[in-house]
Amino acid sequence: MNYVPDFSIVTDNWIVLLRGLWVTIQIWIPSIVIGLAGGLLLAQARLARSGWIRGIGLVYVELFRDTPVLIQLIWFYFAFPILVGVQLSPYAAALLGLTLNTSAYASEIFRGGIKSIHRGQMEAALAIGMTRAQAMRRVILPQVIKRMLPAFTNRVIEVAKMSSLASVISVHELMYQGRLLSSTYYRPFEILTAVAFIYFVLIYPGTFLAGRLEKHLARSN
Amino acid sequence: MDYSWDFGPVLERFDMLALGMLNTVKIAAVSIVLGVLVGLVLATTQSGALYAEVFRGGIVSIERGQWEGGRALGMTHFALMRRVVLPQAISRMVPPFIERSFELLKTTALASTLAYADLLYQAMLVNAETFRPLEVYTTIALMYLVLLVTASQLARLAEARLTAYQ
Repeated sequence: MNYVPDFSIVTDNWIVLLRGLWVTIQIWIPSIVIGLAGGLLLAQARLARSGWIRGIGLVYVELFRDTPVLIQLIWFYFAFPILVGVQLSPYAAALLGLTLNTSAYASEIFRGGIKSIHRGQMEAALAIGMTRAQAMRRVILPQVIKRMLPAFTNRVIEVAKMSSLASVISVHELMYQGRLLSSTYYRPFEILTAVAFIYFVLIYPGTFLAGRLEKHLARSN
Repeated sequence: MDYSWDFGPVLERFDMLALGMLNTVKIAAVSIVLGVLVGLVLATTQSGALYAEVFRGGIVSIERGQWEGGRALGMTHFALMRRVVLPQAISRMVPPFIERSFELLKTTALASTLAYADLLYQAMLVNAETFRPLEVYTTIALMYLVLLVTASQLARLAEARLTAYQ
């Protein structure tokens, strides 16, 4: 192999990659935060007494779970604007797609967690005069979050990886900048290796901290 | 909304989309088979790594008592694996294996970015010819939906059959 790697173009253009990283974080964190909140609301719908509301929730969740994420992002960027008559920016489309996707997966996590809590807890809370909402907030959800923490941290990591798909709909995040640089300088090896390394550095501490948090919370078991 | 839906041009080119669907299933099948083989031998490539995790998890979940009992009877490590551990472990590996394979099927859509003629790639070609992104992408979203819901039902069936004895 006569190829001599030259990582100086990475160090010379670090600011381009940094800008991409910043956009990646701008997609990643809001999607997670809003997605988890939305997931909680959707889980309530999935556990509703009315069969109609449960059915709508089921269809929503299956739509997002049984289609590839790339299709969802492309649909929200190219097809959805035609439906509503408003052109979304690539960032808005990616944010919308990832948020709704996260809310679908998060609702399943919440639903599983809520069902795993013993019915007696809710009955006892209602018996001492709490409303359902109070019981949820003070008794059920804290336990659910503790139990489902591995699944939630998994979601956070998955969304970080899915954010790279936004490059396909031309959001200027890390992967997009990486491809831009590698086609500008014709040195895909150095640039894309650097991009992969940055994703690893971004995601691995999350994995590590998640493990620590789980162990910390498990102490009370 | 005054957009008039027209699936005509998309359905005219349905043969292109059907080819894309076929290629999607092909690449998913090859990825699963290779991933299983690679996962058994090394944990390189993403699907290989994921399957290696599944195999390791299944084998590790067998209680130590089984190993110790086998050793007490004088079985070699290889004989233990073949006759005692693996038959039980494989049954436990089936659900996560099916989950991973399902995700792999979804990930095949990414192959379109490397110009492999999977369903998404063909959809982009049809879109370039018909200029109707709403109908095209809605159609392939429905096709993926059908494909994946079918796969998940088959998976549930397979899982019920393969883990029946537990």
